[in-house]
Amino acid sequence: MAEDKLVPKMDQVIEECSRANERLEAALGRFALRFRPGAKEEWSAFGGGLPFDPSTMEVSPDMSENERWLREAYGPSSDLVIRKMRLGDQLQTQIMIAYIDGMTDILRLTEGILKPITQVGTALPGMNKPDSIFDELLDRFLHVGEVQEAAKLRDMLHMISSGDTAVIVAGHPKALICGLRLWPDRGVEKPSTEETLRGPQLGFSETLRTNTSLLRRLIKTPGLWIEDHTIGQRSQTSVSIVYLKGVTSEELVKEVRERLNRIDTDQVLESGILEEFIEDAPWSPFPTVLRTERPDRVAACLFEGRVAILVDGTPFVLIVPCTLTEFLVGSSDYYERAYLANFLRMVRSFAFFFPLGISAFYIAVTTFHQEMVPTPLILSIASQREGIPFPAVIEVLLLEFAVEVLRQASIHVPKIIGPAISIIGVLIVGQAAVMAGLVSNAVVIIVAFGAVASFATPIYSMGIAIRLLRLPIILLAASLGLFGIAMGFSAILVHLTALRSFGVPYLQPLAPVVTSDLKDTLIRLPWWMMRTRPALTDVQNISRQKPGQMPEPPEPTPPAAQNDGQAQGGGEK
Amino acid sequence: MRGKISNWQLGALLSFTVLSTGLFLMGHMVEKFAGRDSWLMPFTLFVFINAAGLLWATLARRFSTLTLVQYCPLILGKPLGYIVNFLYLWFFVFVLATVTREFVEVINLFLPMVSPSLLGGTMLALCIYAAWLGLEVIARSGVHVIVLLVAITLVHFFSIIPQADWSALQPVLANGLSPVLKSSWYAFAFAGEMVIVLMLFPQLAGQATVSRAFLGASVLICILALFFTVISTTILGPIVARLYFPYLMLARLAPMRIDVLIFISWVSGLFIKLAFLLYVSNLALVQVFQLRDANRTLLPLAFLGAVLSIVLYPTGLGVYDFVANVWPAYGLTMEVLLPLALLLVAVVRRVSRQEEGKG
Repeated sequence: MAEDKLVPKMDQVIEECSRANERLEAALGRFALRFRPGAKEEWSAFGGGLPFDPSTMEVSPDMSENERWLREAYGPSSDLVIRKMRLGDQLQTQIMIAYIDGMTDILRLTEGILKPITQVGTALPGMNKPDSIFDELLDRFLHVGEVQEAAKLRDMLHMISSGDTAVIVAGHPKALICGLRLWPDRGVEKPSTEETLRGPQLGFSETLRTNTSLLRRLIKTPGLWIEDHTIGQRSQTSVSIVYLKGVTSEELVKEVRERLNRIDTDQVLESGILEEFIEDAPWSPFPTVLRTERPDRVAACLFEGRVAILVDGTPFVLIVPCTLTEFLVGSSDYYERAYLANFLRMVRSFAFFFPLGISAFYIAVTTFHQEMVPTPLILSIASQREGIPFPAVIEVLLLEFAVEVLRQASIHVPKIIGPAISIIGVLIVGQAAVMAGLVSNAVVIIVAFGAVASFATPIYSMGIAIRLLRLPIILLAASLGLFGIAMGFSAILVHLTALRSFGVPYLQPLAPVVTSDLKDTLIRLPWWMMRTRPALTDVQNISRQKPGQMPEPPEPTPPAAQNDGQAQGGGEK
Repeated sequence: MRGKISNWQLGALLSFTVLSTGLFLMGHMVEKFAGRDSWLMPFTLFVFINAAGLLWATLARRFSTLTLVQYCPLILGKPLGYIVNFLYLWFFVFVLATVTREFVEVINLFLPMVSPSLLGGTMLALCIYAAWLGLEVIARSGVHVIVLLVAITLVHFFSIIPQADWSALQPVLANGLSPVLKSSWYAFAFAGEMVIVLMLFPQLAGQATVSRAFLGASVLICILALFFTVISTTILGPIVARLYFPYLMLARLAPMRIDVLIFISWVSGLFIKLAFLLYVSNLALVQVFQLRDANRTLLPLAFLGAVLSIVLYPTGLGVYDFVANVWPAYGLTMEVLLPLALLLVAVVRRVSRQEEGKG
């Protein structure tokens, strides 16, 4: 039949079309920036630079060889302490204890290791085989909480550098690593950047274990899982991934793990460095990773199904994934009542976008669109601009530059003369510039207000993004007027719409509209209405609480039930 | 859901396709034909749009994973199909150039000191960025902008309603129904730009319910068109037929200073439309010539659009002349007649391609 002749050929053609379509979709439909899988180079242990390469070496049974290796690895460093002792009833077994002075708890080392070791000889007469002494030490005599075994030299060196104490028995090919870390620490203080009116006033400190304990104190379920990684070949920085098992999606945790594992660099001294290695859009001015110093904020984010990354040595914790709305929110939003929180949130959202366009708007209106301004106002502006030698653009740019320089100066100035500098800067320089006829009053007001408004954004990195974007928009306004501003805003909108943070669209829940998440974006509904978690990638257990949590007075009892023979005075309230 | 857009987003994009240039340009010709009765035009337009939507949806659903330029050769056979493909490719590029020119004309009224090529060039550069990011980004930005645009337009219209003189609408249908039908036919040529949905069908998430997107878009378009025609008749009166941009006059009449917001929202709307058109033209280009990398042709295509917008219309009035005289015939042929013919041939030859479980 004619149809049969047609169909096979048609199928072939259709197959080709579908395949072409898929190729096209792959080319056009790509969305999340994917990382290219790279082969990690094999570094020698600790980034090389040591006189020998400990990667393949094991702890030697020969004591003098271990001691030689330690001395060679640490070179002339005087804080490596090696203490040799003898034990056993004939004092024939040698023991070496190695630790770094300054990172070890000497008191507990004495109590937990040195004292018990001296009793091994009297407690175990006749025991002189190194293997049995090793087992006895491990099982009975080391009065230390955390003891591990290390067979590889690399691991032992790593642990010693981290502050642990190594106990090596001559003749046994393993070392005992005792956890006796103690170092001077700032302690838990108020967060320096995110203080709030209400809520806990604790901030993270620079020690990883302190930070994890602060989180554990807030979330007491065993489901708070902490995974350790070591990143940085020479810095060997401890990095922990923290998440709530059963709430966070496994895909997200896997992705975070993979991104951390592909980092192959020398040092990761601060969480900001780590952030730049794992973020989705390295070239975008907008941050896609949240940074915070408050444990309560981290705990709240963990409950939403996000993952926290703690880095040893810095109090700033990274939280992924994060969307635009996270940056407009301060912790106190959640602790105050709904009305105040919503009002503050709206003020903050307005102050977020306001400095972006206000100077540009002034330039556009005075240069191109004077007819848009009511006559009294335009006359007043014109009279102020009388005699100013610069066009509006140059005025604005001059003042913006001056404000930025003042801002940098106020960061680095010693605290004693800090307030004086800001008063001098704002009042005197600004006023003097106006009186000298360099800039007009209106511009000073606009630029100063914009600068102040840009501090209303709680997270510093987002405030910087807005300040950076002000400049292109000012230039667009100066050249193309209001049309240029519209174009600039459209470009920013398109960029934000395309941005993703670990797979979550940046403008969610505004961009792919997720109606159940709108309860916590521009406004925040009361807590008894927050029944579901935000819909990040695949959050499990999306329900937070059962419905019907709104506090209400109880139903008044009907009159019949009150005549029970019990004297109840008044109503139940 | 990677790369797929929902019905809401499609409806927003289709509304932009029509409203952005339609509200600016339609007013003149519609008033010229129907005069006082132009406010009846949106009702017939509604019917036309939904009928056309049904036609396109029926045609596209027969090939639910293929785009227009992919199934034309299947329906018509290789030589004729390729010819029709080229016709459509040229149609898309031509519409791109025309819309760019329309846009430049409108903006030039606000910014007369800026050269038109700079305006067109900057806008197309932005559209290249948006089209490069993909359809989903354009759709999401479109949803944002349409909320803004509808809100501002409604505020604007309701604020100038007090100035309306309702007696200008009477007598109703003094010249009969035929001028109304003529003007709505003309408006439909604009609305038919929604034919580009045929290129996007594989990327829709709700292919079975796409008529809902058309319904939503047509409701929005017709309501705004209704407001616009009523207000321009009752406020501006008979001079509307002589104004090229009655809408701008209405913007100036707003009591509060919202013409700034109106301007910004319309520019954003035009941007979405141009980005959408650029994306679709690029898609058509890549599929007609079966290129591998779709991103490399964006820049040349945008250049082509910018250059054509100057070359095809040496004077600004050329656009109006074209739109008034040539566009209805050309547009309706490509938008309605050709898809209808394709559908008939496909039905007769029993050509279709659907994947199980999709559509």
